[in-house]
Parts: sequence; C-alpha cells; structure tokens
Amino acid sequence: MRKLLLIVLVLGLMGFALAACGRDEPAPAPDPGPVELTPPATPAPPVEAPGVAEDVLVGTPTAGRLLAHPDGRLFTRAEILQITDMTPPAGELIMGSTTTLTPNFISGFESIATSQWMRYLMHDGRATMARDFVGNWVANPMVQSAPVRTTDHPDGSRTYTFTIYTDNLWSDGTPITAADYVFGILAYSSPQFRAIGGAVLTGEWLVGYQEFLNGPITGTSTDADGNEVIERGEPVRNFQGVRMYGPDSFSVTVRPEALPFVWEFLYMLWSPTPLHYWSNNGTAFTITDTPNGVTISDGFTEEFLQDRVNSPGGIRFNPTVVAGPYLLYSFDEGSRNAVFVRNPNFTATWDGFHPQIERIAKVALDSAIQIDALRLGEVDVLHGLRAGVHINDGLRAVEELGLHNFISYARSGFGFLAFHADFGPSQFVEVRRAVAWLLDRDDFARAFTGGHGFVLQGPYAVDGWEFQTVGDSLYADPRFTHFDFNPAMAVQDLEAGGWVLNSAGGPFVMGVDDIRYKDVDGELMRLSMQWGANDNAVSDIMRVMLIPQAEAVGMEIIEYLYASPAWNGDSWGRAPGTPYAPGGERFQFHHIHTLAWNVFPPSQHWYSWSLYPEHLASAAHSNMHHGDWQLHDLAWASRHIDASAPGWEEIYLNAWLEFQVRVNQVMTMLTLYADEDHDFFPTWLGNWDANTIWDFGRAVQRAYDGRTR
Amino acid sequence: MGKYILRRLCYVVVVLFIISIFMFAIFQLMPGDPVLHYMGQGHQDLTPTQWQQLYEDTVRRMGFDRPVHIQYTRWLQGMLTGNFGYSMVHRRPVLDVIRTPIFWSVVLNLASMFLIFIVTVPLGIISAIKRGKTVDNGILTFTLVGFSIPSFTVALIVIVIFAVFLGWFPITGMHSPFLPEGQWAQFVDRLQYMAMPLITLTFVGMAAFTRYVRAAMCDALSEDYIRTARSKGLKEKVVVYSHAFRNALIPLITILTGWFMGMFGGSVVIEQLFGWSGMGLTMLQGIMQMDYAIVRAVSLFYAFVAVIAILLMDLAYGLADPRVKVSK
Repeated sequence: MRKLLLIVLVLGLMGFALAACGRDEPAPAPDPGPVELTPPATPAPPVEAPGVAEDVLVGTPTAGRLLAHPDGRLFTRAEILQITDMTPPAGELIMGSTTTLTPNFISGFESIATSQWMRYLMHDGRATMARDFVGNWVANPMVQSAPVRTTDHPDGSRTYTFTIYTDNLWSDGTPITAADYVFGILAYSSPQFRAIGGAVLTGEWLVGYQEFLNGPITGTSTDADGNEVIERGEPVRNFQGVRMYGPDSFSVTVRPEALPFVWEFLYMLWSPTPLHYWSNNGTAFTITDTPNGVTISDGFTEEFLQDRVNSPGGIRFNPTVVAGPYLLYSFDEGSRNAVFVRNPNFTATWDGFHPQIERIAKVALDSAIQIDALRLGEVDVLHGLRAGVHINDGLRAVEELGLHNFISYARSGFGFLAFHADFGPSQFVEVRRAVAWLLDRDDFARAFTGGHGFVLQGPYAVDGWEFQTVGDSLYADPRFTHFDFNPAMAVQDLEAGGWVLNSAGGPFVMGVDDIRYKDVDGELMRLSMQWGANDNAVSDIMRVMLIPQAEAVGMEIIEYLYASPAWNGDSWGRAPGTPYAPGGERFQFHHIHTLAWNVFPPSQHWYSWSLYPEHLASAAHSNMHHGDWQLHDLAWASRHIDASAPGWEEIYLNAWLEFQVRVNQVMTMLTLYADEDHDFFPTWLGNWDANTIWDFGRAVQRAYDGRTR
Repeated sequence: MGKYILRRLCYVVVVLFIISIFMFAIFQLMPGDPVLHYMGQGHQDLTPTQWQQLYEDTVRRMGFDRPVHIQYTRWLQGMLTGNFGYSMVHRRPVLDVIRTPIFWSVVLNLASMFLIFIVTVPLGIISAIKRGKTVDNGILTFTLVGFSIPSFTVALIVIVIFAVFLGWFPITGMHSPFLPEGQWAQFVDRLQYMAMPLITLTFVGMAAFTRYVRAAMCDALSEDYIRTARSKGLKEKVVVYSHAFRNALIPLITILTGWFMGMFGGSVVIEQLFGWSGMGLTMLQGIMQMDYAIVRAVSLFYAFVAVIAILLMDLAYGLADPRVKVSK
C-alpha cells in the first residue's frame, strides 16, 4: 500500500511538472495561429523605386512619411517644429528581446540588430538623409537647409556639397555643426579607429580614403609567387575628398570609378560625431580645412582613442553626448539590461515627432518565457518575433487577455540552402537542381515558421520594389523554373547530368543500387555530399525532410553538426587558420550549408555575387564559389546605372530580372523561407507601427504611453 | 602543518603548470580562425592585398605570428600578472568581461549553498534518525522527486507557481528595468529577482545533499561507537550531533568541495531561463563564439579553484577527523 501511495505521489508530481511545462491555463484554448502558410508571395501593386522619396507625402505628422504642403512643397525645419506636438514625454516602456545587449553604444564595433536599435535611440535623427517607413531615403529636412549641390569634375569624380542648419543641438547643448559631420567621416575612416578594433568603411568611396587609411602608394613590387604587391607609405593626415567650408557647410568628393551609381543618394548620407566630446573640448585634437582636404591634428592617436573611446566607461561604452532622442541612462553589466531617458535637447524627428516616452528599458529574455513575461506585464513590447511556436503563443495571449495588440510584416530577408559550386557533386548544376526538386519547401516553410512565413523562389525581398514591380514577369518567364517538390524531376535531372552509374560502373538501378555515380574524367564520382549543419530548427527539419528523399533517388547527404555557427563558418568558407587568397587553396569539405541573409532596400546585390578580386572575401563568394561570370555581369549591370537618366527604372528592373533568372538557372542557392515577423505590444501603447526596416529604434520614437494621457 | 601546506602549494603550482599547457594546447587545436573573428565583418571592399595586409596586421597584433612556445609563455605570464587576455568578441580585457558574471554567480551560489546547508543537514539527520518511518519515507520521496526532475523543469515549475500563479516574484532578470530609488529599495528589488533562481538551485541541490547527509548519518549511526555512546547513557542529542554527525562530516566535506568549485561556474540552464547573467552563460557564449581568450582564462581559473579546493578539503578532513593526519 505504501509503495502504491509512493508511486501515485511521484506520478502526480511528475504529471504536475509536465503540465507546468506545457501551458499555464487550465484548459487548452484552440490555437488561433494560422495553420496554413501565408499566401504565396506574389507581387502586389507596385511600390515606389528606392530613391530620394518625395511622393509619400503627408500634411500631418505620420510615422516615417515626409511632410509636405498641399501643393507638394516640402516642410522646412521651422515648419516641422511648428506642427510637432511638443508635449513633454511621459511614461515608460520595457522592450524584451532574446538577444543579450552588448555595451557597444557607438557604431563600428558590431552589427547585432538589437544593439543597432538601441544605437538608433541615441544617434538617429541628425544624419543628412533619413530612411522612411518603406525603406526609401529622404533628404532630412531637419538637417539640410538647402538641397545638396553636385559638381562634376573633369576626372569623372563628383563633389556633393551640403548646407546644414546649425540649430540642432547635441545632448549637452552644443550646436551640431559641419565639423561634426566631417569628423564622423574622418574618425570612422581612420587607421587609429581601426587600431582600436573599429570598422572603418565610412569614407570608402571618397577620394583620398586609401591614402588617409592605408597611406599613399609609393611603388609596386612582386612577391615570391609573382603577385603584384602595392607598397604604401605612412597614412597621410589630410583626407583629400572631404572639405569643410564653415559651421554650416561641408563637401565630399566621390571617386570616378564609383560612378555612375544607381543609388547615388547613398553618397549623400553622412552622420555627425561630436567632435568637441571626442576631442575633450578641443584639447586633444582639432580639424582644419586645407585646399588638399581636411586634416586632423597630432592628438588623434591610437593611444588617445584607446583611452577616450575604448577604456571602461569610455565613449564606446557610455556615450554621454549624443544627437538622437534618447540618452543612455544605465547599463547593467550583470543583467545586460539598459535604460534610456529622453534627450532634453532633441526637438523633433524629420517626420515631425517629438519623442513621447520618457524612459525606455531593454531587457534580455529567454525565448521559452518571453510570452509569459509579456502576459505578466514584465515586458511591454516584443519586436520582430519569429518562430511559429512563440508567435502562436503570443496570439493566444492577445486573444485571452485582451491586453495586447499585434502587427505582422514580411521579413526583408530569407533563409536558404547554399551549395559549394566548385567541387564534388555540388559543382554540377544538375545535382543542385535535383536537391531543389527533392525538398518540399512549402512543408519546410510551414514547419519552420509555424505558418507565419513565405516560400521564396529567389534572393529578393518580398516587399521590395523590384519583386513587387516585375515579380509577375519573373514568375512567368519561361526560363525561370519553379522548383516545387517533384522527385521524378530530380531523377530526370540527375540522369541528364550523367549520374546513371552504380559503384561498379554499371547502370544504376533504382531500388537495387544505393548510391548513384558519375564518370568524371574517367573516374567514378559518388553522389555523396557533406552538409555542414548548425544545431538549429532548420537542421532539424532538413534532417527529416531532405535526407530520406535524397536517399530514395540515390543521393547521399551526410550531416556534420556544429554546435555554433561560429565554428561552422570558417570550415565552410575557408581553411581554418589560412589567410585569404583569391583563387587559392580553400577548405573543400562541405557541399551544402544553410544560411540566412537580409536584403534591406535598396538592393545592392552586386556585392554578394561579384567575382572582382576585391569582393571575393564577401559572404556569397566564400559560401558558394559560383564562379559564374554571367551572373557577376548581370549583378553589376544593375549598379552602373545613372538614375538621373530617363528610363533608368526599366533598365534596372530588366537587369534585375535577368539576374534573378540566372540565379535560378545556376542554382547555387535554394531559397527556403522568409519569416513573417510579429510585434506584440500593450493596448496602451499608442501609434505603434513597425516593420523590418522601420524597426524598434525608429518606431518607439513615434509611439506614446497611453496611460499618461 | 605549515610544511604540509607549503608542500601542497608547490604541488599546486606544478599541477597548474601542467594544466595550463594542456589548456593552451587544446585551444590552439580548436577549429576556426580567431583572427577572422577579431577582424569581423565589413572588409569586403578591401582589395585582396589590403585584406591580406589587414589579416597579417591582425595576426601580429594578436601575437599569433610568434612561435607557439612564445605565445604560451606570454599567455602564462599575463595570467600570472593578472592580465587574463583580450576578448575578441567583446573587444575588452577578459577580466572586464568576467568580473561581473563571476560576482553574480558567486552571490547566487553562496546564497543557495547556505540555504541548502541549513535545510538539508537537519533534514538528512532527521531522516537518518527516523529511518524507515513515515517521516523518512516522506523525505526520501521528496528528495527522489527533486533528484529526478531536471533543473530546467524545476525552474519552469517554480516560474509557474511563484510568478504565474502567485505573482510573488518577477519572471526574469536581475533587477527591475527601472530601479527604484534608495539603496534599501534596490536591495529588496534585487532579492525579489534573485528569489526564483535561488529557490530552483536550492531545491535541485537539496534533494541530493539531503540524501548524502542521510546516508552518511545512517552509516555513522550504525557504528559500534554510537552503540557504546548510547549504552553509556549519553543524551541522544549528544550522540547524534557530537558523535555521529562529526563522523558523517567526512563524505559531506567531499561534496561541499565540489560545490565550492561549482560556485564560480554558474549554471547555464538556470541563468539562461531566469536571465541571470553569470559565469555559466558567459562560458557557454565564449565557447560558441570562439572567444577562446575568455574560455582559456576561465578554465585555468577553474583549475586553480579546483586544486585550492582540494587542498582545503584535505585540511578540512584533518579538522573533522583527528585520525586524518594532514601534516604527513
């Protein structure tokens, strides 16, 4: 009897434990989340081409839209300030995220999205250009007091001259001047900043960048392998392509080879960096304009930056002077939570909003309890939530409690299967196509996104201008293959590719022989590929959905599981420990890999697919080694377009369409899914609107705490 | 005794030296290229020559251009002088990165050790004294459950009970996002956030320790000298606490030593779930992100803690049991 009681007790407790692991309501509610995939991503009515948007105009402040009068005249700074609701901020908001915040509060040290959102809070709003709600760029009317003046030079270079208001203030009350914009370019292009671990690509297209960063060319020589080696002297003090004409004007000059550029407006995007703050009120170094560009004085040294920027409590970890709407109030090293308070000297955003929330906190959460934290009110906002299980949990919370709202939007990005296209079976397009036929991507996307996602047919953004404008034509193009699940087509492709032999060199017989072989230069090649997998949900699904299907048609896929993408990346892209050398030896081991890319507008896909030596270290090449010059040419054809010439859109879109068709034909990447991201937020949060581009950092500047009104 | 400690400390140095060689070698052999990780993204527009130059500069800056034995010597020299290296992921000195997580791991583990000790010792003793009776069976059942359920599940149960049903404690974090004014209020706030990880750790640890105490006490209580003590007419309290418990301490010291070592390590599951930023998470992230400066330094630190703990354990044996001569 005692034993029986004991068993009952233990079983009871374990049952309670299991129940607790499930959900926290007594009776399971029906899952309100969609069970079917969101309708296939087909083009919708055309959206505007990326550019300096002046056609999404409104008369009253609307998040992410440019303000204009009924006659189309854009609002000036003074007019924006006049109509901005300057009610003092009140209330607070807690944003939860599964990403732990790292204390890099200035740019140049990392690119984690969550950290970037926090940096927007502190540094957004006073760049010369601003990104609008749908991803277009607009000239910032709060900054630019006159249109940018362009001057063409005989050598093909082009100068952009900016005139700015000097009424905008840093958080300490100091005016933001041209010197701050110039200093931003210099600092983030300098060898000194690189020496303390920062990224230095800010001025990369400008005249004099290489000389300022790496030193002038002093000659060339040939190394032991016969390669030309460029010899450089010490980096120069002056940045030739940057000038400063006074507190309200500066210019930059772009190198001839960087023109024409279809998204030329990106050359007009510059952000200020507080010169007086970095230079310790001018006691450490100064900036002077000369006919040969701006120069920076001796005090700007690696040692100084190490102390001023990189030491504990330095500018990188605790910037106390910012231009954006919020100031860092605290960062807790233990919890990695941060609190931001409003910047009293920030007046208004470019679209006419004065930040309305007094305090914002960012807290770290485990994904298993994030929705519980939302239910209990410990966090207010979950932004950009992915994975069906969490989204459906969130939707249940919305339905049951009635305390929250949600919005959803397509992710500007996608997950995909990458093939190494230069060795082993994956070097043959028929094999890559066969894999594409063998994976039921509808099922895959449904399983991975829990019904909150799309299946993509190529590397594009579902909401992007290109796909929305010519997506129909792309899908209808007879050269474009829709790889729907079809093992028979896989077999057909494999047979067409010569994978018709067995291990003995005789004909491969389905059901009798296990693996297909192909005669490659007189030797039998086994249809066996290594898959460098990461420990994630994508791999879990691939394991059950692809490998058995491959086996059934005589293809072997062997999984190599890595605990972390950091471990996998190197072994995929290059030999561990070996230096980069284009065309040189590379670690050829894995044939298949799963990755995800973001494709924020405007698309600059040429970098990803470039075969120019200077781009070979980029992600796409090191991941796929496609080696297809036609693809390279089609990608670059989109960049070298003069967007001021009539009919440029047609030229660009045609090039884009041809590029997509070629990607589809070459099939070095099989796009798998694009998530439908969700935001969950309390009903009291007013004016919340967001998407992948208009992210937390921007959306929160326009929202308000309804409890305080 | 002093001589013994000195001799053991010499052993410690030798052991640590050997461990440090192993540790250094293991991380040298790990896959991946830490130079690439240090360089990070954003260099795609450099020409191959520039890229190569940058790579080689980085190799030099990180000291990887030196022979391996020089790298080892420098690393060891740094460790001995308090320079634990530089985290490539955090881009900060390792000591700056781990200082806070170690502190909070120690705080949490010390508190849980204290709670476990004051609860489980009496519980184990009662269980041993009441061996085979209802109380003993109840305690055994309770500890069996605690022993059987994984800490992750215990944590979820704790969350459901204390956060969801009762609403007593916050579900995650180390303090309120917006800290209250005043030191006392902040202290209380931190205690509230610490409560659930503490309850979880204590519950998980309690089950095992109660059983250890009970087993040790059962063994001690069945010894002849206990029978002798009882037959001499000594009070039961004296028999249990002065005679039996002291002898039961030896195995408990071994277990406590293990805990002492674990105190600096933290618990990945508990820390992840409760958002408690301790050493468990820091180490895991270090491994996952190939931040080997952190992992190597902390591993050596753990080795140091372990050998010191073992020394302390041996000394404690001597204090607990006079038959153990630590001076030999």
